[in-house]
Amino acid sequence: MIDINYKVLKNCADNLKFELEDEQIDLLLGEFKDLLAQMDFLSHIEGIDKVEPMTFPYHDHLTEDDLGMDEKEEPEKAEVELSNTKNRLGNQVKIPKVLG
Amino acid sequence: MKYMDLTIEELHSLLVKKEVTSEELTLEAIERIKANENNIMEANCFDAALNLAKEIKDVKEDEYFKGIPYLLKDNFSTKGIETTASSDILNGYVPVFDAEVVSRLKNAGAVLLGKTTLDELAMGGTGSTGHKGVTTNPYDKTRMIGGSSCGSAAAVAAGIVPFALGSDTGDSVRKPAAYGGLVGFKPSWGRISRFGLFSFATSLDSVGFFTRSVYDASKLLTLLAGHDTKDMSSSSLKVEDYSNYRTNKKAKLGYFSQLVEDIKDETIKKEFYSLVNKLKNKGYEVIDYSFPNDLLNAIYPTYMVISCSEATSNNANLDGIRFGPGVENANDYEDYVHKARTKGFSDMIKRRFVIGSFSLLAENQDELFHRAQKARRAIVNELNKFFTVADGLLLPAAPTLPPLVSSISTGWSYEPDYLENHLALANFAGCPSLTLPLGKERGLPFAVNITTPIFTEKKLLGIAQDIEDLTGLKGLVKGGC
Repeated sequence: MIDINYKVLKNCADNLKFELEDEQIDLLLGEFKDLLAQMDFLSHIEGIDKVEPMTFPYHDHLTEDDLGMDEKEEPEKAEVELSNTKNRLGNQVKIPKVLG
Repeated sequence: MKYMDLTIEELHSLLVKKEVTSEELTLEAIERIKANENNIMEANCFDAALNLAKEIKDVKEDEYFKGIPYLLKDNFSTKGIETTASSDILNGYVPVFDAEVVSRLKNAGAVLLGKTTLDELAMGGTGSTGHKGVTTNPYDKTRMIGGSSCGSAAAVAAGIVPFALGSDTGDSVRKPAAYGGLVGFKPSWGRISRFGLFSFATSLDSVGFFTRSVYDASKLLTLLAGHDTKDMSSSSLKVEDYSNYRTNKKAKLGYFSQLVEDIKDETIKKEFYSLVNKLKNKGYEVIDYSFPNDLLNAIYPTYMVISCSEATSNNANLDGIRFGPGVENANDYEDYVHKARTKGFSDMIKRRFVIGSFSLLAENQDELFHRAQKARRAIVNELNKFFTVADGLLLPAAPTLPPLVSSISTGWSYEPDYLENHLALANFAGCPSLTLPLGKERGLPFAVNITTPIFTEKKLLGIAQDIEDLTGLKGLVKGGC
């Protein structure tokens, strides 16, 4: 496992696309100390490495076989969609510039 | 008469007999929302509610929810009503579709009054981390109502509406229900469609709700349960009439005495054992089961690692472009998203996302995320073993009375605290789980919780009804708040 330090956490925040202030990183370093101490309990559970990871509570009754025909629906009126933005150009949403 | 202090069952009866109109109920609920000084609401739709209520003239016997006012946690999509999940990153977001549960309630004629506040993105248990501040307990405003479904719980406890919807990932309906003297129900994972519910931790999330009686909870489940092709985790198992739950056959229940014995509040402990004895006198067999301590201790870290990891992934779409207010003066796409997320998330949420992200790093997965998933399997295996010798698990829902607001901390505890976190067992296993009032101490409610095997909602409701009959605490409400 990667050692936890200021740089690693700063890098995580950067990958998550937000700024984390130094004060918050200090708090996080403390929280990780507690978390890893708690995770250590897990490694002592008898037979922990012999069980399969549990991803969902169950896989029965789910709907993998339910991929049927699409139902035709009328699209929303443009005004409904446009109510979500302050930036519009005519009848269209004006999106931020995404290419440099 | 204060109608909003009544149960849905009582209001329905009055509506059928034309002793009250839906408009009168709606007006009283709106009045109570306006008079309430607690931090409960995110958005309201009073005009639409009144218009709908005015149109409702006749209510038939089988139209249980028609004309009944209700509130909805602000992490359910509502067409045309701002929905923020109490996070600044979603300020101004107006969904263009209704969540499946909203459609079902709409079709049933229930009257939506607005959206209730929550811990930001439903990631908290204190009712204090939403972007509008702290929500307190109607029984004592110096105390917590708990979270994350704080606004919904406080509204039903205060006599504003007879029921409200929430969501439950670890205990976000059942713990606030305990602190608010309410019935709080989380059905089996997949029993109710989550289409339109903002995901927190997909493998743990359930729609849940608050009512003032077990019977009302059973009627709400019957309305909301069922397969939905729009939710791929929705179960196609047949839906029953869950209100037909009474049976003479008494279940075999179990509890974990090591957990109960650790509770320091003598009244809660005493009343729990008193309930056990009353259930025995009623014909139940109740056994003490020794659940391994190492697995109980594993509940909290397992929950935190899994929920933070799933939340990190689920909320990656909150980029300020597709939803929310966005930012000005960004240089390019990366800069835009970076600025929007920096501004939109609180510090607490950012820290949770970093924990999730770190746990998911390829180099760390085996020791963090996968180990938590394995611990979840080990815990669930033991719970299922318990269910081979007992039909249901009975435990105090919380070890204390509602904690003081001044004691709130968003940090971690160094020691695992299974007393505060055991309700997550039901989320790990996908089981139905229900909290209901057990008693009061110094005027503050405390509660008991029942969990039964997956898809045994009817059995669960039957046990809960017997307990409600024993405690006599049906219809508990603080009212007048």
